[in-house]
Amino acid sequence: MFETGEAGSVARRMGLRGSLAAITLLGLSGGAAYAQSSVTLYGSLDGGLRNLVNGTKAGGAALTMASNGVYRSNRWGFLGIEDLGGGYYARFNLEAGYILSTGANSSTTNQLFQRTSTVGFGGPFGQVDIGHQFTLQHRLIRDFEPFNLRYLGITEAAAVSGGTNGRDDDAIHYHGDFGPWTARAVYAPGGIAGSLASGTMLAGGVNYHTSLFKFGAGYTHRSNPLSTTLTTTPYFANNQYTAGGAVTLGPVDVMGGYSLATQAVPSTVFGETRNQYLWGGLRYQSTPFFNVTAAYYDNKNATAGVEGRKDVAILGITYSLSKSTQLYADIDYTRFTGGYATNVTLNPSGHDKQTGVSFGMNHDF
Amino acid sequence: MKIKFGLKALVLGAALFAAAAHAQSSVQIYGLLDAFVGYKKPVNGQSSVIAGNGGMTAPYFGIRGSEDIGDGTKIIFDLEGYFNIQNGSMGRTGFPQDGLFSRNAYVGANGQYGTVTAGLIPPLLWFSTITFNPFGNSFVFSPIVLHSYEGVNGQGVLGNAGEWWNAVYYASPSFNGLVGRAMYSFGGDPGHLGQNKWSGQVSYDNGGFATSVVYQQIKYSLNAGDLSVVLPGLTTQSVANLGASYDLHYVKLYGQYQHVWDSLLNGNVGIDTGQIGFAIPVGVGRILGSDAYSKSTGHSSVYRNTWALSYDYPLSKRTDVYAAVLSDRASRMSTGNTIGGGLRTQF
Repeated sequence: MFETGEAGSVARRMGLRGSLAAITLLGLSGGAAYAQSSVTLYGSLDGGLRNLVNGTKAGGAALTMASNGVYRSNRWGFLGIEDLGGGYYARFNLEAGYILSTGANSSTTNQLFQRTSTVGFGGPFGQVDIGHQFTLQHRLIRDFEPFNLRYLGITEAAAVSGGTNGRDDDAIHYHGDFGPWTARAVYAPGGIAGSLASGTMLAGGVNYHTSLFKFGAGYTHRSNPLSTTLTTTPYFANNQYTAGGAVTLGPVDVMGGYSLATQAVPSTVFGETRNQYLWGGLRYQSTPFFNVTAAYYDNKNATAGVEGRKDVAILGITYSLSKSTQLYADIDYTRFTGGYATNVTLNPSGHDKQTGVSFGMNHDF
Repeated sequence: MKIKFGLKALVLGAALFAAAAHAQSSVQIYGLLDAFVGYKKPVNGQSSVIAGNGGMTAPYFGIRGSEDIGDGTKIIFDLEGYFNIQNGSMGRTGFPQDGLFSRNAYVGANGQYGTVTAGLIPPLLWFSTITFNPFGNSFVFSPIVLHSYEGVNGQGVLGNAGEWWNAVYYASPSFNGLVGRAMYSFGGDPGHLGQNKWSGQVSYDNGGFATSVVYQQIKYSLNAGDLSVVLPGLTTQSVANLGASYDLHYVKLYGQYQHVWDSLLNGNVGIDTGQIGFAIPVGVGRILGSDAYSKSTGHSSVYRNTWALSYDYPLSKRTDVYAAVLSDRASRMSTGNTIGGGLRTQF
């Protein structure tokens, strides 16, 4: 009578169909000592279609479904919190990504919990998470990223996040909330034998948020080695400066941000890699169900051999069917200029103008 | 709409099933996470500052279930996978063969005549190794685990040591704490029936005293015919392990003696390993200590001595913090050291 347990069948067996309330089976925990301790199974599914013109070398329009979520990246995971008393708690988060249309793991290297895998400890001082997790920039810009990190395959927000797919391995991440302020600090040892500096990452930042006004600023320094196994390999400084803010005027949010990332290179290569990001946007929540967001992202890449820009304009609407289900649609236009247009790594299609239209449905559980 | 489940595990008890035919059937989701920060210099290696994976226990997640089919018989299954918390990848660090369910993956039955399972099953020796040392299954701080499963200078236990693929397993019912177990692993190579692994164990556990004798013999490591690839010239490896622990309340003592017979084309090698350890309760925490010594004889004469000390402090029944130090010396190699502190939690 059992199928091997997957989230859907667990929910089915628990008779959760149609229920919107969170279900906590505390009666089964064997004791009411930790009233606020829980393990949550959660996830999201994004099914949609995207038509992209000039997305491939051949040119022309291509209609696809193959994506791990046009609007929101597909995921499933466990989030656990254990109340230790006195305001202290232990927590963990394991999150895997998948491609809805094929069922494949979203990681091409078969990382299982590629989206997040952390264990941490929190209290009045704040919270420390250890493990594989989002970069400082990713968390910092959330307050002033017009699409709130949705449409990551289209906007420049993922590039601003940096790291590997927006995440860092081996990271020790602190954040603490103090009134309207949030302080952030990250340290990731390189773990490269024979060198204390190679491969390490250090970052710090602050966010300030009130209902009317938000801003944030942060700095990340990485010592990027050319190889992670050779101790004699030289490493090169990577610096990223990020700042931005948002103002809320009734149903409208106006926001913008700036980030500059520089990567030093070996002396045999001419000039450092330099990427500057500038973005701005408007969010309009006309009813609790209907949202219109427009944003513009500019990436100026000043690297020997590239020297060009990528500009993205995107207009998106969402309509909420419920708290957990949304219909979405977007239209976007991407333009490459200078060396950016012809660089096969940065723009595999080789076309300098791309237009995309997508629509679909996202469901969170 | 999030599905929250209980503290200890997701237990889907009978009341939750549409058809409550079998009162004791259940499925659980559970796991363990462990991360530490420290300094590591492996033997013969260079030092580094690390954010490490699984200082005390290698992280895993799992789903297990049992279905009561009546007459005291249950159908059981267990699917468990190791993962690395520091990068989210599946499997253990340094074990590239680890798949999605690399810790346990079996289905079987349990009843009045014992337990029978088939699938990917940890070998009996692994249980003896981790039961009779105070650091359990730590791949970072347990001296005996390092000696057996991360051997240097040709030492160590081979044969996909932490789990056997294509295995069948039988455990007898307990007679006042006395249990017999046997395992067989199929090489699955057409025309080579002799490529197999087998193991037997007798264990006793009663009133604070536990002991076990295990014997295992392997003719292949991961896949049939690969033993000489793992260790050049090796044709057969046999291991005998005697372990015991005794809980005196103010201290728990651990001991193991192990002998490995490596049949090599250019001369046989024997490896004698001894391990002693203790766990002393101090307040709510415990001080752990262990030393393992291995000496090769025959066609090799290398030695290795490793000791570790730790303080383990529980924050709750399922969450603890720890600090530990390990020193590792081996023939012809520079000394290794590991120092670290970490956090471990179970769900």
